[in-house]
Amino acid sequence: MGVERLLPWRRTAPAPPPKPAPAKADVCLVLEGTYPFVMGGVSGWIHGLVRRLPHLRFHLWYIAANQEAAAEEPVYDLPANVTGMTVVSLEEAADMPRPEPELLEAWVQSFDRWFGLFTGDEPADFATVVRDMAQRGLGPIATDALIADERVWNRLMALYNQEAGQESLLHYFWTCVNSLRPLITLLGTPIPSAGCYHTISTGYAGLLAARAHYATGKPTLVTEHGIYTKERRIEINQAEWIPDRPTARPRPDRDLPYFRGWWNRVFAGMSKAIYDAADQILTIHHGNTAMQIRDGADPRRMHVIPNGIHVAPIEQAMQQAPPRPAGAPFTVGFIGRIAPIKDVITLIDATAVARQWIPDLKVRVMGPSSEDPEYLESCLEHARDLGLDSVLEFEGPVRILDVLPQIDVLILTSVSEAQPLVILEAYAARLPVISTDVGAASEMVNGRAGPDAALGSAGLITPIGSPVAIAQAMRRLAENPELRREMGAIGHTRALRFYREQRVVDAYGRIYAQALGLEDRD
Amino acid sequence: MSLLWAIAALLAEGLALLTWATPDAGGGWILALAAHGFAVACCLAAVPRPVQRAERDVVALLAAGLPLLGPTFAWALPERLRRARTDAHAAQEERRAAAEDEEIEGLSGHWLQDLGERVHVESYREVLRFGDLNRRSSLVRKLSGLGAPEHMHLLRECLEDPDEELRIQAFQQLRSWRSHWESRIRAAEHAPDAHSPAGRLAIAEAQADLAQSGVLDPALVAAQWQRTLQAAEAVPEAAGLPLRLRALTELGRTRESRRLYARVSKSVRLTPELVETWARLQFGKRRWRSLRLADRQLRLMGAPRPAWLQAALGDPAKEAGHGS
Repeated sequence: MGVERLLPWRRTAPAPPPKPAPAKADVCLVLEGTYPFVMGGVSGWIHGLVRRLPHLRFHLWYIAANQEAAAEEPVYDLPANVTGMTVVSLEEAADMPRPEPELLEAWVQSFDRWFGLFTGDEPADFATVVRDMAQRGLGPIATDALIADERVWNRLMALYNQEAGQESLLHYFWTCVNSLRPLITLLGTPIPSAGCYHTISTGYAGLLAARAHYATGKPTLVTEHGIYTKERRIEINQAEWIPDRPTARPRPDRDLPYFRGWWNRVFAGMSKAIYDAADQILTIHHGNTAMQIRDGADPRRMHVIPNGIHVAPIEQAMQQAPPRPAGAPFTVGFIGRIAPIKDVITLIDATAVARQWIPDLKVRVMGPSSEDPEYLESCLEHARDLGLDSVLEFEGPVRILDVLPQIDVLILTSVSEAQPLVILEAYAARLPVISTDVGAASEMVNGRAGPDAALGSAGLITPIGSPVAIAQAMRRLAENPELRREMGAIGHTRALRFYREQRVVDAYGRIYAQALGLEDRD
Repeated sequence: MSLLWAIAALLAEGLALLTWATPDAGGGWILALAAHGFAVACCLAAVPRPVQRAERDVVALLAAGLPLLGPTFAWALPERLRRARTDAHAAQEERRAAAEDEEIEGLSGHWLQDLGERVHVESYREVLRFGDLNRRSSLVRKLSGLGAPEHMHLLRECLEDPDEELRIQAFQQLRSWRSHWESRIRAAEHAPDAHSPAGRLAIAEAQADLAQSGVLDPALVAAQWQRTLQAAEAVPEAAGLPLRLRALTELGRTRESRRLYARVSKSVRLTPELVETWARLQFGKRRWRSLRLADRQLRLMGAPRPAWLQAALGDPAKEAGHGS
């Protein structure tokens, strides 16, 4: 496997010609903050997909947040059918050389066109912009050199006077620079050669995939697990580092402050670019589709391919496990990262409430905590404060096949999820589920519609951040072993009928074959 | 004929009495005198002529006696009537004061000190119901910046917003505030002077701050007040009293709270802070009489009247005019 690292700060030439990848891949996966450098649900999904399509050659085009991340080693053992990897950093090199006059001129000429993509309210035509840039042979350029050009500066000032005159010029300038830097880096980076491009999110990865599509004319796909623009909006709307103009009193009738609106428009512009470019817009649950349409996706090109589970190994583990002893405590299992987004604090609060009703309650919290040790510490302290030492246990990472036979109910208290795989794993083990109403959880527990919904509920759904509702759900299941069995059976049937892993692999196999023109050979 | 005169005399006297008994009647006393004179005349006219001496004496006594009834009623009956009217007047004033209290209550909420803020809270709620996502999102951030319990309650309402994006934002803001209050508790617990009276008081205050912050789920608030009470009980009595009173009342143990206050007011020198705490509790429980008593105690101590008490009870001079 050839790993090519295109780290801008190592370059000396201003505009090196694009290097072809060592071997032409069938599929170029465009990735940002995920596989193969970060462990997690989406990474596991990608890894599984690549492994189960061994007849296809994959190239990984990975966007790292900064230079340090770009220099790291992958945390996954890459399958043999990964033929190459290109890593690009969003962080611009500090020692980028002064550009040649021709390159600067080409960037300046095209600046007005693509700048409007991300800052204007009107959707712009990214295809034209990319084709125009390709024709001009634009390579990497230092942002500072571009902004220092008088024509670019005048354009920025015109926009400032037009729509941001009341804001601080300093803030405006730095917001421009900070939002332009990664875009300029990505718009100048070479494109690996592949038969089709598949991005696993919108955002910067989506922008690269769209650029690859317009520059090469190859088919492009986008699969969204979580909705990138939604996640960015949440971050941006609450970020402390974005300056707001102080007002005497809060004005609820006002729209978002200018700079927050700016950042939202930048990310929305990137999503729109890939939605326009993609031949197929895929997601894993129907709840996402409304948000995709709101962000500009064309419903005619949208498809939902839910995540799947390989039921057999879990069934086998359940059968081989020794039966639970009579009189074993009612055990609720939490399996996931110990991170704020999983809201373990609410689980602890719910345990404190539920133990008043369930004398033999035991709550097992299982999963890695390396992501946020401070959060783990606060969880431990909180549990201690509530006197839950004998009820609630933090066990660290576990092997899921060992754990599922030892619990009665699986619980998920997350505040944000896409389509949690752990619910499907619980279904495979015939366990009922208590989950907060996030992402596809409700759809997975209660069924979406038609025959799926007709199966019934495989668990209980609660609002986020509501310990009492979660405790009540625990109580209901603790007091009704028959209900637990019934829900477990429904979940198992649902997993077999609607969430088989092979269906996902087959679906993507067909989509890739179609994109690569291999359908006839299949 | 005599009978008719007698009836006329009685009616006239009745009119005189009524007029006399009516307070605030202005020049009604002239009418009362005139009616009384007319009644006497009627009595004299009622006596038949010629009459026996004995009969004349009886009639004369009656004629003289009837007018005597006037003054008797004029001093006896009207006094009762006046009292009744005064009581009715007081009751009316009481009702008016109660209505004012209700108005204040409606405007101010439980612990709200700024009456105008309530208006803002309502307008925020409207935006959260009907605003578009950007505005609601913007408001969630602003509510978190404001940070008062009322704003936290609004954020809690957002947890059930139909839009997941907003639910997450509200949740994160609430969680951020909760971390803030919890870190204050931990800082107080781990402070070098945590076991000194001041250190224990700091712990109890931090616990109370979390309890009243509005960030906790309502079902967890009682447990938090319980922890506050425990922390306050570890503080030497005088310093921890306001918190103990507060915690007891919040936990619904009002009888204990009253007993504690009564015991303390005899054994410990009351401080304005303690009285104000007590007043706040009474305000929270809508006990207006106790609230006024606490207000008087504050005045006797020469302590300035807090703004929230001013808002709750109004102008002291006006209040005195109400006769309460």
